[in-house]
Amino acid sequence: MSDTPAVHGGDDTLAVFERGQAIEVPVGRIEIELAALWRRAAEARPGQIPNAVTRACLWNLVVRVQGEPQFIRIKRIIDDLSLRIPARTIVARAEPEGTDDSIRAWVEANWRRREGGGPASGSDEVTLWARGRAVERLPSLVRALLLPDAPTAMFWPTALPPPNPMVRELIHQADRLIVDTRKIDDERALAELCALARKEDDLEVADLSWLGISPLRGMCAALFDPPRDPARLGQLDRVRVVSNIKGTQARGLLALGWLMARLEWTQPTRLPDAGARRWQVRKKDGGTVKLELATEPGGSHGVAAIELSAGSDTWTLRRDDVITVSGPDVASRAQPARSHSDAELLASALGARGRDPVFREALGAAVSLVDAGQG
Amino acid sequence: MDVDKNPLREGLQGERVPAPTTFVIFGASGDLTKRKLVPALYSLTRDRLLPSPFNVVGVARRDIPQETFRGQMREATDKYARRRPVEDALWQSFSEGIFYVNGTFEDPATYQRLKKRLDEIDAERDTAGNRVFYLSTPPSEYPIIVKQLGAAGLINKDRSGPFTRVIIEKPFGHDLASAQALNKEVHEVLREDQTFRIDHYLGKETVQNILVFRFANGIWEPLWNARYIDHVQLTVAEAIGVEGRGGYFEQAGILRDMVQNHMFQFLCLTTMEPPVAFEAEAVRDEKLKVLRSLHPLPATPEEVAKLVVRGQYGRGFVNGEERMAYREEQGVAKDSTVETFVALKLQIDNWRWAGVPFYLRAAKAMPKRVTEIAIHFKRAPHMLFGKQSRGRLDDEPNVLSIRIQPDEGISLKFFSKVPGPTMEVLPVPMEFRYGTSFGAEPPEAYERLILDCLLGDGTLFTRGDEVEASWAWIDRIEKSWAATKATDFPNYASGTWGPAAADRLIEADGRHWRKP
Repeated sequence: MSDTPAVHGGDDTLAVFERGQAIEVPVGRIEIELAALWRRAAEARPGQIPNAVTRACLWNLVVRVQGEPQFIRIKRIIDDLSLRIPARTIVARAEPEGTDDSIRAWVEANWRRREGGGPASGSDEVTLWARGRAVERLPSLVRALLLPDAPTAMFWPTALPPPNPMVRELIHQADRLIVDTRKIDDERALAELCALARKEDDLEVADLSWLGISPLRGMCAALFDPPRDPARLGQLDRVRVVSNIKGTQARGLLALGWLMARLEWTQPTRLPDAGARRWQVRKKDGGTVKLELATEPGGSHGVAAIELSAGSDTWTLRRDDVITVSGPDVASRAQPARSHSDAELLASALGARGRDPVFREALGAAVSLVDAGQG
Repeated sequence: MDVDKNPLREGLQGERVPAPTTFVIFGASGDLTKRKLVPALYSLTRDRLLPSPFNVVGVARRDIPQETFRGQMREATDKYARRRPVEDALWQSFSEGIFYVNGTFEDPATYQRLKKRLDEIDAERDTAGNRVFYLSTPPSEYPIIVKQLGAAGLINKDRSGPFTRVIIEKPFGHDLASAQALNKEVHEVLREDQTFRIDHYLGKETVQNILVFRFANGIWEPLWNARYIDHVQLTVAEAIGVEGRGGYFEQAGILRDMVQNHMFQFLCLTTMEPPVAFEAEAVRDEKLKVLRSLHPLPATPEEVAKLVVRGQYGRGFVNGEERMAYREEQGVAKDSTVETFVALKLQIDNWRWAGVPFYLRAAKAMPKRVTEIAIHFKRAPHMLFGKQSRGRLDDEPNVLSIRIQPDEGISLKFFSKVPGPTMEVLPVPMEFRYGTSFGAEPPEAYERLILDCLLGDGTLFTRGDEVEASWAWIDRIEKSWAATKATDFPNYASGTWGPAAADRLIEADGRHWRKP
């Protein structure tokens, strides 16, 4: 993005717009400038027929960013996302430590080109850069830029939204909050997310980390699909989840939380660690299940393996370049699996999978594991 | 926890996951297998919608090694898969479940070999005996294959135990008598709910969207009746000719090839009453009621000719390219009287549609390829702006156009004031396009339909009684045409919208064909 404002109304501005590059506009004229650019993009040029240009929008997507590295990363994700889902994206870059108390705005179009050239359809992207005390004006500006009749999602790409009023105001305007719990540096933040989800009861909460383990969850579920007996799930007495990463284990906890929530296991108590974090949970029939969250080097997966045991029977899913499945009554096999990009996960979060009540249940159960005391 | 269901499935994308299955394709060396079926199965695997394990067994006459067959399927998938390039690791895993059995369809030994191979595969790959047989062969082979499958003990008619389902490609019969005979032969071996008569148009997103559009929105249904709708036009136009299928087309004609199946399905979805549930039997019951409500055609050929116009293309230009006449196509008789164009007017005798004419038009060698359903609403009762519209309000009513292909979407035409000091009124379109609104490419129709069959969901397949009801109506036209051979063929030039008689058919009612 250039710091130099583009010349408003000139042919150069239109060319910049048609290349999908950002044009700085006065903050109070964002809608007017966008409308004018779209109109001019559709107009006939001398000697040419008018372009068929479609301005599309399924979502208002508000992304809160802070700092240059994150800004650059998010812009790349949005470029990729715009090929998958047309949305009016509002990138709200807030730098409260700035001293000049200013807001600047840029507009651009994310084009999806027709085969053979020429813009076919595009969606709006607005970048707001607020510094110093001007950060407080961001929510009102975002509110004014939301398109009517399209739902609003707020994507918080780092850790979790802090509990300050300005952020809460932004979230309150959203229909869906999208977070990425892979980025949290303290597992207790899961409890904050859980509390936020409870407080904003109508807010749909999606998590890129959770969506990233859905292939593994799907394959885990497939182990108990008919004709195999789903009742075997009731006989499980030990679950082991293995992570490749050190430190915060949001994905591993969510995987365990998912099993707890779906299989109605409750009352976790912490057991002494034995090379892994261990819990005991109670089944509905009064029985108990031992849970284990272990860390093993060798890869980069938050959930590298899930082992489910019932007596002497063990079902295993192990993720490497492929997912290897084995267990009783299951022919051992390896299924290809690939990691999804952030843009793919974000597109998924904006789809039906971003409205997943099971996530809230799994999150609640994961929090109960974090909070569990010694038995 | 509900022990009958898998609680871990809740919330996952593939909540409805088919059981491990072996998918047997009769006619595995054919074009459909290569262009559609195997690429669709690969795409389903890629989207993690197929069970694991999943096997594909090709059956065809040619004696080729299994590895050659796998190679051919890879080549076809490389060329025709929706998402390319094909992922090597995924293909490797998918292709381990591809097998081949050779033999003729008439020979009982073929089925014994097939049975032995399927049993081996079940044992090796833990498939539990679930089987789908896909008949991708000439229609004349359907009764033989179904009978032989039954004789070889390959059909499990029992509702308990592993399932057996059979997918039968169109055409299902060539008239009422043959459809009834085929239904009888099929039902000797299969239950109706094991029989999946496929019409790939029903797998298209836009066709499925007709029901969503009508029944998920509160604003249309109150208008969807004779009180507000003037007439409906259904068009299936193809720019191509018969493209090497002259031999087949000489036996079929456009009436059998398009109207009896695809167009009648569109008609049913457009006009049916709301089903009690989005379930196979409920939806198909409502479609059947429409077909049974079709106003009977008159008895004499002269009277039928007033409602049905046929045509055949002559030489002409399509998209600037010269096109030969139908009678010059390979496999077509020089004096052929087979129709490549049909336009007809029909009425539905029920409370909702009484008095509303439906104009159907299907043709080859048209100016462009387009399939659409156009709902023409009645005019406003008083023409307040008649003068300012320069007659347009009289000539061009509000039209809701559901575009099936290409540019899938929905368009609503309404009138608007032209900006300026005068009260000029012009029609403007309000457009919804799948491509621009959703971005994501829709799955191929075959992907949806194969998945539904694996799940045992027949909603998007045609039931036996539907097929017979549609043939019963079409038969009258065929009989009328047989009694009065066409003498004016070819009667329209390639690249035009059909014969003049088709224009007269609709203009006699004071209406015009759309030029979509």
